[in-house]
Amino acid sequence: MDDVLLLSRLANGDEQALAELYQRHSAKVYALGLRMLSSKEEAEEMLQDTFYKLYKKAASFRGFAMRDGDASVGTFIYSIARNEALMRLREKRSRPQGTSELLETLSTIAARDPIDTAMIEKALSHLGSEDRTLVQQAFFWGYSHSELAERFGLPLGTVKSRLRRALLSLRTFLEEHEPS
Amino acid sequence: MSRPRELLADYVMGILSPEEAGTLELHLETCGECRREVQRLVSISQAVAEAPSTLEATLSELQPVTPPRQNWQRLEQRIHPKRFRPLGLPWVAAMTAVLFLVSLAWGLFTRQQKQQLLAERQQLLTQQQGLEREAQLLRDDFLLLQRYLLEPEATRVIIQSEAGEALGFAMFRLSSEDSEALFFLKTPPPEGQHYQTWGYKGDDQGKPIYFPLRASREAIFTSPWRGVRAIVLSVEQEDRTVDTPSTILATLRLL
Repeated sequence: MDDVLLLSRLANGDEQALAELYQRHSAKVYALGLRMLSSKEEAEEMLQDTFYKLYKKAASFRGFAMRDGDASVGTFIYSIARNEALMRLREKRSRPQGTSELLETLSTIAARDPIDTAMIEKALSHLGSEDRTLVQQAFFWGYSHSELAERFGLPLGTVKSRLRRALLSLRTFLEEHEPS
Repeated sequence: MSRPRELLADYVMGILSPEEAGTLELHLETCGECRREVQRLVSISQAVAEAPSTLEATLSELQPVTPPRQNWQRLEQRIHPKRFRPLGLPWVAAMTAVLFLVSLAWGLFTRQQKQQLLAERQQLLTQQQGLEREAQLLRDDFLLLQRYLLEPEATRVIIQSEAGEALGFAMFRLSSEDSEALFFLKTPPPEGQHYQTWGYKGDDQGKPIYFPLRASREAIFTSPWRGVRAIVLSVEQEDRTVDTPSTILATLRLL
């Protein structure tokens, strides 16, 4: 049985479907929690919160899942997980990339008006594969630039300049292609 | 005057030093154009982080880690808190009652066992006392026998029934001033009866005169003997007092 059908059944109150989705995705969600939160206990709590939220809001996810296909159910679960982990990090005020109060406020405002998923995907596809990976890793995990330099085996200055270039390139692409 | 995009991008990415960031934030307070640009760049960074391709790319390198099994159980408890509440009040009450009954039964059992053990202990004590008594009697008999057997001048006389059956023997220590004779019979008296020795001094108008010397429930005993012509051994009923021998077993003529 595919993920879309499972989510649909969960939306109709079939709890066995939740057990099946947990069976399929919990190991990755847990690994994500461990990586982002660096704590077993917090990763376990995050895992619970993620699937609890999935259970409670399965109905609202169903439409999206049906529209975007099977892979998106997993993506949905992982994005819930990431948000849960980020929330925990914010609560602790220990996000690896030291964010200022102003940036926090701007992030909250930005979250209310997200950029269209298809548009950002298009913009990302226009980047070189290495720059794309670098920018995705940096923004997804919140890695510091020195961590990225180590992971990619690049000088720190190169990482910084590539990230800057990638971000501005995305900005320019969106400026040129988004309806004003 | 607005700042270059490069500087704003560096700020969003956290590359600036705290001093540079502080100076720029002061500018952002008054410059709407730069603030909008920063917000745009923040939106882009969020959109990149949440893009499906980002999730797929980052998760593909992530090695799955199986979470602890109880994590699923905890999730189920959150979903059905009532179903998973084994320690609710009724359960606690039931468990308490069960514990009480178990401890009561255990208490009764141990009490019964204790009583049984006490009874056994008492029985053993009684047996021990009996054995000690018997040992004491045997010791007394041994000392008694020793006293007579070690006497060189002791005289041994076989006690015979009228029919000539040997019933035991008697020992007299002639040289000693001891006025007691030892009686050593093969068997103790029958149940409910005792041995009795009688002194015989002579007849009164053709009728023998007896007077009682010693009564014994044992097979080995002593009896006075001096000053009589004969000793008569009889068995008597324990609950009866008689003046003359009831059943004469043997007569020992002394002089």
